[in-house]
Parts: sequence; C-alpha cells; structure tokens
Amino acid sequence: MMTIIKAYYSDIITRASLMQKTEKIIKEPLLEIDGLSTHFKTEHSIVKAVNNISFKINKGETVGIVGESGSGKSVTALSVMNLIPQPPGKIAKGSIIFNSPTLGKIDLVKLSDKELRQIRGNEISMIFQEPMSSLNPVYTCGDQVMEAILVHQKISRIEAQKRTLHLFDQVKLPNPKAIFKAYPHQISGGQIQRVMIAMAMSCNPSLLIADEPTTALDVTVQASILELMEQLRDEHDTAIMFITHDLGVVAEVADRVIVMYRGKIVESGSVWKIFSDPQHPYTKGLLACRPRLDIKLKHLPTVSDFMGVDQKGKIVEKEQNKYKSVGEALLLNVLSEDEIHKKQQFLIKQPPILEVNNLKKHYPTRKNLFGKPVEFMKAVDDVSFNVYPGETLGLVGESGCGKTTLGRTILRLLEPTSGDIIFEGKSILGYSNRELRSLRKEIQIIFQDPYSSLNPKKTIGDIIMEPMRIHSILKNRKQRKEKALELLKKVQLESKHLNRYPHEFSGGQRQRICIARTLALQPKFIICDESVSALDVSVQAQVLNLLNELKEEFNFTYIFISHDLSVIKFVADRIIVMKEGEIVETGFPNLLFDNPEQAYTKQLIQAIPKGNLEEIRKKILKRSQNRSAPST
Amino acid sequence: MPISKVSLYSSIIFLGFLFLLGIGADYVASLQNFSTKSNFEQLFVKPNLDSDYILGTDQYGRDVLSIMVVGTRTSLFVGVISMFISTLLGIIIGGLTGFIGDYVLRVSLVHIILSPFYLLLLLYYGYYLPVNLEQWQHFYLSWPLLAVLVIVILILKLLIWLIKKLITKKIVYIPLDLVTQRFIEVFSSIPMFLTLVAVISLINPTLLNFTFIIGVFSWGSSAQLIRAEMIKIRTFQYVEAGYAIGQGYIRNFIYNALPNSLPTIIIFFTYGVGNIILLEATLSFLGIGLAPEEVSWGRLMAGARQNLQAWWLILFPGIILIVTQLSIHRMGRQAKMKIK
Repeated sequence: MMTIIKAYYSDIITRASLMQKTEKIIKEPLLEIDGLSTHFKTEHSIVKAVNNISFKINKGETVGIVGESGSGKSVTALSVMNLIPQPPGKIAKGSIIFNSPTLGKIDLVKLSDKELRQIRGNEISMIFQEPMSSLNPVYTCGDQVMEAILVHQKISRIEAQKRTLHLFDQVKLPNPKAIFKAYPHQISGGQIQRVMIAMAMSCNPSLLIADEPTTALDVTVQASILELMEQLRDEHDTAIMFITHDLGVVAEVADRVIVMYRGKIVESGSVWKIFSDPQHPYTKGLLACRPRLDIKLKHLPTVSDFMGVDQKGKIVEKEQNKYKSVGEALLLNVLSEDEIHKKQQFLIKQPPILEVNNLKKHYPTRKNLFGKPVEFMKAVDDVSFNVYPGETLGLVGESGCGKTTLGRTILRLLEPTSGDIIFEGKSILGYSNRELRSLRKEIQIIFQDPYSSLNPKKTIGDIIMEPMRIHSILKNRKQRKEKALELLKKVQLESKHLNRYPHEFSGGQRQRICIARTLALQPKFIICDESVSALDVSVQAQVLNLLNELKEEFNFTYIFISHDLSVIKFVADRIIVMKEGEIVETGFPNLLFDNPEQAYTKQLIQAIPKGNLEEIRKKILKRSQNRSAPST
Repeated sequence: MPISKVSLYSSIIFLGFLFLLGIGADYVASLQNFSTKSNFEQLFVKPNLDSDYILGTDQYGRDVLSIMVVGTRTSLFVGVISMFISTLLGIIIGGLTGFIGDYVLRVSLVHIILSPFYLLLLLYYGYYLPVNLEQWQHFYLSWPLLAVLVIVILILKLLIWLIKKLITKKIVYIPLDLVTQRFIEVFSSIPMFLTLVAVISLINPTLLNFTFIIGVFSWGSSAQLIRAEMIKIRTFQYVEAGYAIGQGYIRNFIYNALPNSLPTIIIFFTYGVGNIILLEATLSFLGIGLAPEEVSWGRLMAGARQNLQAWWLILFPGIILIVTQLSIHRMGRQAKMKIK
C-alpha cells in the first residue's frame, strides 16, 4: 500500500520547480469573461444555466472547462460565440472582452450581428461534439472548408482550394485530394473531426472553442486528435477553450482547468494544482470517482462521499466526510492482489454457465441478381468463450468491433448466422418462441441509453410490473406492486416515484429504473450493454457500485460491454478484447493491463487518457519545451 | 386575450355546439317551424326573418335551417366514423405490419406450396356452402360434411408431412411490410374519386354504407402514415427492452408502440375528419354522394344548381362548412403544438 501512496504523492516534491516553469508562459489575456450570466426562460421559471462566472484565457493557452451535464459548460462556449438561441436564452449580465487582433478590445456581448459574423469562424472558431452531424451531407468535405475560407477572405476559388489541401495536409488527413472530393459519409468519424479542425483552423483563429471534440470518438482516434490539436496550438499560437466532461482528457491537453458545477465555477487553477491538490469537495469527488487503471477498488468513491447539497441547492461540505482527500478515498478501497487472485481461481474452477462456440453473425452487404448475398459484413466472426457463474466478464473494444451485436445475439434479440450458444448446458439456438420467452426470464439486458429504453407513456410502476405480468411471477396486481416498491428501494429510489413518468427522472435514476425492471425477473445472467456510458462520471460511479452490490447480493453473472477500459478494469473479473468481430485477447485484468500480449491491446491501453500525475508532469514538461523551442 | 387564444376557444365552442346539434338534430328539427318535410307550394322561398323559413327553402320546399341542423349530424357522422374506420384499418394493417417488419413472420415453404388448396377449402366451406345450400345451417352442422372436413384436414396433414420429409423443409420469411406497402401503392394508384363513383353506383349509398365505403377506401394514407411512425418507434430501445423482458410482438405493439404513436394519430385523425366532411360535401354537391333522401350540407348546396338565383342555398351551408373546416384546422394546429 505504501507504494501506491508513493506513486500518488511522489511528484508533489517536484511540483514547486515545475510550477515556476509553467508560470512563465503567461502572456496577455485574449479573452476576459467577467460576471457572465446566461439565463433560459422556461414556461414556469428562469433557468440560470450560467451564473455569474469570470475567467480569463491567455494567448496560446489551453483552458479546460470540466463539468458534468447541466453544469453550463457548453452554454459558456455558446455565449462566447453569441450563439445562444434567443428566445428562450439570454445573456443576462456580464461582459466578454475579446482582444481581437484586428478590432482591438471588444465586448462580444454588445457587438452587432454583422461584426459578430466577422469574428465567428474567423477569429474565434468552434468544433462541435458530434462529427457525423456537424458537416453538411450534400457537399463534399473540400467544398465546405473552402466555403469557410471564402466567407472571410477575398481570394479566388483556386487559391482557396490550394489552401484547403494544405490544411488537410496539416491536420494529417491521409490522401488530402481524395478527402477533398469525398462526402462526409464516405469518411470515418475521426477523419470528419479532422476536417472540422481544418475548417476551424482555416482562418487562423486566435481562439478555438472545442466543445467535447473527442467524446464521440474511439480512444485511439481521440488520442491522435488530441495530439493534433496540441500541435496546431503550438504552431499557430492559438488559444483553446477545451470543454469536456472527461478529467482524463483535460489532464492531457490543458494548461489550466476550470471546474464547473450547476452554472458556477467551483474551482480553477493550473492542471497540476487541480489534480495534485484539489480544494473544493466537488473536484475531489470528481477526481476520486473516476475508475482507475492502476489499482483495483472494491467500491468507487462517489461525489456524495465528499459533499452534500442542501435544500437551497447550495454545496455544503459534509460534516462527517467519509474521506478527507482523494488519496484517502482510494486507499481505503483498494483490493489486494491476494484477494483478486483467490477470486479468479475460484471462478474458473466452476462449470461455465454460458458457452459460446464459434458464433458468427454476418450481415449481407451486397446481393447478386437473384438476391443471393455475395458479400458480408462480419459483425461477429467465429467467437468462442465461456462465462463462469458469479463472474463479470468485461467485453471491450472500439465502436464497430461487434461487441453489442455479440451481446444481442446471446440474448437472441438477433439471430446468429452460425455457431452455438449453450446456457446452463442447453443450446438455446433451437428454442421456439415460447421457450425463448421463458429464457428471457433468465438472461436479461440493461441498455446503454437510459433515455430511450423506458417507454415515456408508462409510469415507473407499470414499467417495473410489466415483466412480472408477462411471466406471471406474482398472483395479483397488489403483490406485484409490493414487489415493485421493494425493488425501487433496492435501487435507491423512493416509493413515491412509483406513479411518476420517466421524463421526471435524471439519467442515473432512469438507469436505476432499468435495473429495477431487470431485477423484477430475478435473472441469473445480465448483459450490461454500455450501461454506464451515457452517464456522468459521478453518476456512473454510483451505478457501478449498485451493480456490484446487487451482484454480491443475488450472485448474478454479468457480461459487461463497454468501450471504456477503465470502467471495464473496475468491474471485470476477466476481460475479452474484441476487434473487427474477432476476439483479440482474453485475460485477467491485472495481467492484461500490465502485460498485454497483442499489439492492439497495448495500443488501446496506451491511448486512454490516464489523468495521473506522472502523465501530467510529462505533458507539462513537453509543452514548455515545445513553447520555448521556437523562441530560442 | 391574444388572438390565438380567441380563435382556439371559439373553435372549441363552435365544434362543441356542432356536436350537440348533431346529437340533438332530430329533436331540434321536430320543433315547431322546423321541418325537413317537402312542401311543394313553397319552392325556393327567399330568406326572410319574419316568415317561417328564416333561411329560405330549397328546391323541394324544405326549410334550409332545418336541413342544416340535420345535415350537421350527417357531416359529423360521416367525418368521424369513416375516419375512425380508416384509422383503425391503418393501425391494424399499416401499423402492425410496419412494426413487425419483413423478417419476423416465418412460414414453412410447404404451406406456401399448399396455399391454393387452403384457399379452395376456405372458399368451399366459408362461401360456397353457406350461400348455395338451402337450410345450410342444418347441413353445415350435420356429421357427413364435418367428417369430410376432418378427412380433408388429415390428408393435408399427411401431405405436409410427406413434403417436409421428401421435398423441402425450408422456412421462408413472409415480408409482411413489403407486401402491405406494395398493396397500398397499387390501391392508392387508382384515383379514389373514380373508385368512389363506381362503388357508389353499385351500392345504395345510404348514410351507413357511404360512411363505411369512404372509411374503407381512405385507409391507405392512414396506413402509410402510421407505418412511418411505427418504423420510427421500432428503433427506440424501449421496444427492444420489451422483447428482452419477454413481450411478444403483438403485446409489445399494444404496450409500447401504440401509446407512443397516439399523438401523431390524433393529429392525423383531426385533419382527416375535416377532409372527409369536405369530401362528402363535394360528392353530394356533384350528386354522386349520399342517396337523395339523405339530408346533408352538400345536398343542400346542390339545389343551387337547379336555380342559380337561389344564393342562400350556397351561402348558408357554405359558411357553416368553412367555419367547421377552420375550427378543425385550428384544433389540429393546437394538438400539434401541444405535442411538440
């Protein structure tokens, strides 16, 4: 245990010298936000999305704004661009002073539309989260970047085309000429995001606002995009306002970090300061509740272990805090190597509960004249593995690797092309519809998106009682209602919630309702398909803890599907890494992470933003070297 | 009060008034001075506030006001009931097949090979026997015919078993959605107006028949709309979650899909009622709609074709028709806004 303490705090010793180095970079401010408040008017009340915030961004600096959904980080970005939809939105107060190279110091709030258009895309540009919908599908990528150039600069089309190709080269797109002529749907998500960056950089802006630019991307792609952005920033001396919910990403790119909570800035400081010595309980909670790669925890600390919110919505530090600091929260929950080893040995000695043999699921992509398929998309290709009772099998891979298809095929929500699935010694592939329905009682699924997996027209009680009614588990409605209340209590919801509708609940609460619905059938086997991916980190920690507690109580077996290696590392007893429909590697988490056998696994692990102090120190050093290099 | 609220409330009040008028039409028309009876001494009387006929009379000497009152019932009846039939067919045919899709209903190839036999059997027992045998009830239930049926079924079973054993065991999908879609396309490529004229000339267009015919012939568009809605809903995860907890297709349809498509259906229904009221008026005006003995706004207007001087026959039913349309559209717009 001492080693972990050392690992966590060793770098603090070098902190003082490092701080001095980073401090030197600070130049004149580019953007000064002072007392900004943005309000949204709803039917009943005024929502203060951003409430009296002030901060500065200096030239050539990356400022990371971190917060969970609803913290007002995106609204801040839109306010700077003056893109708040009016009505219902309104910048109620405050000033946004932008130090424009051409116009001098101007207040963006007071600018006219014409002046704003000159600024937008030219001096301040923006990259959005969803790469697939941020480019217009009817124009080629080249056309769209050219358009962005032609709007702001009076140059000929041929000149603009040359510039575009040069930009594509700069953002490291393979074969710029081909991409120039390609339509957005013909290139991958990572490439689209590169085109977006090229477009944003086309007029050499002095401020780039990136609103969750890598959230929708795979980890390996994310790593390359982050690297690119950093490089461009250093080359062009562009300031970046980097908005994200992911602390790991912030640690990778930012010089300074601003933590937002419910429209307010709760803490700000250099990235080193925030990560090594967080002051505000919320920041501490956020840092502690991220699943970690270096150690295995019994139980994830949650934000509510650090702070509480009183009835007026004000943050209060809890009097009897469970943990005082991030380090303490982690240390108290560490699982020792012996415990992990013992559990692993116990699990694989049992006969497997589920065997998957040579499972294939192919989709025809092209058919010949007679309707006979000649080409296939191999979503799942010849996959075999066992699952042992009481274990959590982590299934990890990037988007399109077939992990979700595999999960659905096991449930027989999709029909496999060939292969066999044996559940408790019986092949489930030959099951008739009626047998299938009773199988559904044994194997359950928890979906990714808590917003669309609940029928919006039914009450929570109805939703939880429906599975019991289908399988006639209890005799009458009254008994079922009692059971539903019991289940709600189990997933930490209240009995008054029974008659409410899904839209009245937050994402985390909805996911708990989904879990309660699953529990209603008392299944043996649960497939969690990206069940926590749509949730905020703090909520994610709660749901993961709940899933683990329920597993202990009911002795469930999970297949936990996720793209997030750190989540998988926390929950899984064994891990399967998938790529392009095939299994790349299988192993126990500790072995797999310390010593990956396959190059792909290694690449995947390396690409995760770690967010630990060692990495941050390296980054800061690298950055200060890059910056001082050209001047000397 | 803003103008949008004024128009909304007045629409609601007007439609409510029409509805009550429709229900109580017979009573109102039976009051003194109100009569839809012909009076051949008083043809084309001009509107006059002092006379018995406030809004004048038509070509048969019937009171225009009374006809408009009774015609309200006709219009509402035709509009609401035929739209109801059309929506119901749309939900059952378009909605269900769209929801289930092409890759669910599986049938052994044997049954498809034998389907002509099934059809013959159905025709014989379901149509030929009941129609052509006198006192068929006795025959139908008598044992020789039933025995024949049992034997035929046994032979068929044997045949199925043999074919499965010897020729093919293949199971094929029946592309329900595809078949329905093509059927609707063929169906709606025939001009509805002409079809209606043809059908009405064959069947006596009483109010009930007419309503039924319009309902049956306008199901195509409602089926397509509801299908589109279902295909959207089908992709939501709560539908998949329904299958995962063990719901069957029909149950999932009723439990998940139907309540969620209801808003769209209500909007479609509201506008549809307006359209059908207009269609009925048009057809009746042209003289190919309701039977002559039925009373309706369109029929009333048709009287003006005989006497172009009789402006009141166009003006009063015309006003009520337009106001009804406007009110219905206002309600539809409100429903749309509410749902958004």
